[in-house]
Amino acid sequence: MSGNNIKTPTGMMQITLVGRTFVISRFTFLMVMGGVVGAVTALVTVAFRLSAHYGEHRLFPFHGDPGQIHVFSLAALKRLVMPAVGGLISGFLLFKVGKFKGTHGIPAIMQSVASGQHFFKLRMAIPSALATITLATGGSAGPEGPIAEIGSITGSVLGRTVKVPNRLVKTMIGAGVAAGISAVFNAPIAGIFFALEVILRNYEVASFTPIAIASVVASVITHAFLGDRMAIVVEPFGIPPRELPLFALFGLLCGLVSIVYIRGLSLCHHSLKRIPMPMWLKPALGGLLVGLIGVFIPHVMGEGYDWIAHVVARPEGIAFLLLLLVFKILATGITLGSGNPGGSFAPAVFIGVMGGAAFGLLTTKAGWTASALPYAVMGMAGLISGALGAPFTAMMLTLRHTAYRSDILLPLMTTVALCGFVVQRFRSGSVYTHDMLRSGIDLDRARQSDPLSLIKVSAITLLDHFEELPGAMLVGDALERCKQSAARWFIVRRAKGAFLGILSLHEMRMAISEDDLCRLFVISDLVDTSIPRLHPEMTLRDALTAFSATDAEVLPVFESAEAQAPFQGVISRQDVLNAYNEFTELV
Amino acid sequence: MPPSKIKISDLVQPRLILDLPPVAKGEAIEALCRAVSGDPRVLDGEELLRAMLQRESEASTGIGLGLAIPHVKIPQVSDFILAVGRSREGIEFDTPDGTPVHLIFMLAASNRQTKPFIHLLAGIPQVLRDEAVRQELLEAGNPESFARICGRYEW
Repeated sequence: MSGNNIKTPTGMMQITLVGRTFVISRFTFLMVMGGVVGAVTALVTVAFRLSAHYGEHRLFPFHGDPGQIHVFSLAALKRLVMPAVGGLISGFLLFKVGKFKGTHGIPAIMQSVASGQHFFKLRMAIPSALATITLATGGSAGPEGPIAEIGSITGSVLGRTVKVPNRLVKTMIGAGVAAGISAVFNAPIAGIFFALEVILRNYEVASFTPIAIASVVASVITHAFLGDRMAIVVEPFGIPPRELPLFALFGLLCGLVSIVYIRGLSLCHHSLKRIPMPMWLKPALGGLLVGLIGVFIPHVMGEGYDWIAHVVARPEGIAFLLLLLVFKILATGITLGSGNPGGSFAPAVFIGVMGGAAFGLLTTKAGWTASALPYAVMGMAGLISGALGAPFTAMMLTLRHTAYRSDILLPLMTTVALCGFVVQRFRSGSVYTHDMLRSGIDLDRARQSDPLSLIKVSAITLLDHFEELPGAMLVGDALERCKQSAARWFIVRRAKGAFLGILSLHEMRMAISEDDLCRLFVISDLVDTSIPRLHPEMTLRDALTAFSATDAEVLPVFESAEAQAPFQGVISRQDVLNAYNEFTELV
Repeated sequence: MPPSKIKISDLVQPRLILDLPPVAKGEAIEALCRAVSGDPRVLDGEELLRAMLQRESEASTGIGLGLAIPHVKIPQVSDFILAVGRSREGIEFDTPDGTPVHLIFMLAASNRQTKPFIHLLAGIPQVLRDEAVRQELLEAGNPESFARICGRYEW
């Protein structure tokens, strides 16, 4: 079956592949695509894991005793310098070469998905790929976020390649995320739930099958390449029912620690943003600060899974564990806040395990419990639930690490629920949504009431389709010049290059009804210099408010809110309305 | 923004109609700017003069037929204001037909009034293209009769 004018029966869909159009059952298609997305994401994950691992061991060869954690074997000077070198390389590649601006990572994916912007560019995967440098050089971050992001971009790019409808691309993005988490944790069920509750933010039955297939395929492929390894090996343990109230208290404490982690990351990010230095050098500065911490406390460097496994196997030293908890938050805040690419999932696990082990040791000392291990494991669940806003992922991941023992279910659910309660009570969002909430973007509320507040102006800013005209040019001369141009709008500048306004050819013609006026008016006479200015971080709600105050069809977008910020592009009233219509059709 | 209801005839005020000696065009514009600078609609007279001269340096507002229409829209003006200069001897204004200018209609507006500004400016040559009207305005005995003649036209 081929051709472009196929009538599609109910339940079927058209896809275009290698220039040919096929009709296929929608369900079959999504199943197949789920598998493809899962396979590709798993292969990318394997490459990511191996490059981070070999990067670390090739750049900084292991010289320690057998069984010693790699970073501990390095000389203090190496620990000081290596995150800075990593930051310098990724800062240069990301901001100087790649010219990356604005948000990326899981928050950007969440916001795009929530606003119906499902087509991601392959280029967006670059920051995620560069996270290997952060991890290989000891930056305090995790691989899960970048891998989930790569998965989502894989889903989106594959969807675009076979030209599937926008609303189905959303499912493929979810499949990619699930595959990424499944591959990195060797935990397929946790992958499914992470995609549903963090990225898609709903539990649609229609999305479940392709996402589950992607997760399973990714797990199988990763298993084949990396083996059936778990990052943390947990010895079997039991929890007596009388300890349930203690887990309730522990859940509340996990909630408080989650809030400190969420707000700590945000505080570091905004503090480092204010330092007056080139953006591309900040990751190196962040790396140097993390290196400084690493000289004295190397435990907080890198993903931290080796040390997590160590603590889970042999929890000891309450004060030291609490020290690690505090410095891990600081090191992660500095690493990510300074612009080093990386995720916040693994640090959350680290913080949860350290806090849990400390709590467990304290209660063991008091004679209230027999072992600190259950609290160390539940700490992981608590932080994933509280800090990442992913309670089901937390439970599934914990069950996976405890061989799905049913007797831990009640303490697990208690910890996860109460931790989530505390975070919600203080309206902290999660590490992914906290800054969005601070800037007035509530994904859940906006999905129901105001989709325009989710979409940034940058998403629909046109960076071309216009030409420049000097303000002093006679309108007659400008009309002659514009006749030769395919541009839709003309940017008018003063003699010294400062932005003056925007004109369309239509506006020029409408203004000049008589030929002799062509010599009376110069372009600057026709330009409305009072039109509102937008910048990329504003939302389409702001843009629509600005449009309502003017009859302009397009508004200028500048690089920032500063008065002298360079002109970047234009945004049209029609494109704002189209974005709204597209979203409301999707939801 | 709906099309402006304001008309040139509403803006012509006898106190802002000047008889100019045969001076250079810069001096003529300066005299008109000084005349309007005390008006509450002009928030900064110096800036108005600077903008008028700047605009004139970009392209002459002399359009031929003995007519010039200097104009600007700037934030330092709050609403439309019109001043008229009359020169029986004529002022060199770098016009396309090379003839000196006898009537100068200087219009200033706020930068928020782009569309009505263009509408008002476009109306001036439409009326003054008629030589009889120009002649009548030049021969008006005083500013009041000049304003009355202007009031007879829809522009």
